Amino acid sequence: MNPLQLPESVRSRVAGTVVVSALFPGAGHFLLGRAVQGVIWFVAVQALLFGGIALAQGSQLDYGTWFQIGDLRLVFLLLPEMGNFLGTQVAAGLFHSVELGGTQPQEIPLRELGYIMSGAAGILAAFAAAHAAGIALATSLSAPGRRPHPGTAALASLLVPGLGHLLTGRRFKGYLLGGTVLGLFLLGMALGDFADMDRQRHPYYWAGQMMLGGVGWVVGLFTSSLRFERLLPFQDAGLLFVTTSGLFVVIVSLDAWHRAAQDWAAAAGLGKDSTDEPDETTATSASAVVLEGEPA
Amino acid sequence: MTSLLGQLVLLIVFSLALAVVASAYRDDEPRVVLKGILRRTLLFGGSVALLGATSLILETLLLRP
Repeated sequence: MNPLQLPESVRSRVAGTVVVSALFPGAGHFLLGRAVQGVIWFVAVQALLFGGIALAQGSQLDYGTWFQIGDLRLVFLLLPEMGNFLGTQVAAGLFHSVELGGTQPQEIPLRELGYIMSGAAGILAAFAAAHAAGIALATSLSAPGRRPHPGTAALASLLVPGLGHLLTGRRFKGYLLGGTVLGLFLLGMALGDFADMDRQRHPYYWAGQMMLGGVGWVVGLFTSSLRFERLLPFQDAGLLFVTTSGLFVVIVSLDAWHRAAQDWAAAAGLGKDSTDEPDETTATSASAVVLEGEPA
Repeated sequence: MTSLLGQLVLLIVFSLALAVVASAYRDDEPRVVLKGILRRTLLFGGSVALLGATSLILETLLLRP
């Protein structure tokens, strides 16, 4: 992958947007003059986090820990909720472990839904930063033509792996990556009797599985309550496959962001390596629905 | 109990998936991506298979009482 040929001012604007958004989801959009989008991102992410915590009665916090020096608590570490950094810190200050209070997580009826909601909030908060960064890049370049901005491509890949590439006109990569990631995910689930997504059994694997995005969250809703009822021959491989497919979604989304950014840079005449031409130069008709970030 | 054949098949599947993602991330042109998939599948799968074979030989020759 070739580095983007961007002016320093554009790089600084994109980097600043990412930093602000990472601390406070939606703030990047607000700074870029997209106040409504910023409010929507903020409300959606925090509603998912605190709604999920309410449903699971705060039992998410039992999977995290405080990083502290002596008695001074500095940061509450909890994956993947920490993607929504400030929200997670506030939640950790407001709510307390239910296990220390004598409640077993299994006794909470909607805890699996709550886990997925709060986990999705962390992932979406991180993608809010990517979305804002895409807008920052697209609105900084004078590029004629209509195409989805990088943030839209990345977000689409989170919802359905490969969709971001389809939106940018890269059909081959879209189908290849989508088929590979979803195929690996389904194979892993089948190897584990569809009981792979279990936060209580293996919380660190579960954090990786949440990165699967929309598909993983929906499947998780229906399978999180399933448990291994027998020893399966390739159970560990299944767990590895499902978790790795989640990590692959992050790479696919990064690539979708980068390729869309390359298209913007090329349209703005900022140079692009000849080996990095997309297989189709125009965006698909579907991308017209999500066109954003026309240059000022 | 797992079988060696099953493990080999899963190794090939995983190597292929890893190679697809790595190649698609590295390149954008379909022809180059496809070439990269083949090379990286062999590289990753072969490396893991070599490590497995080495450990099996060491176990057989040195570690087994």
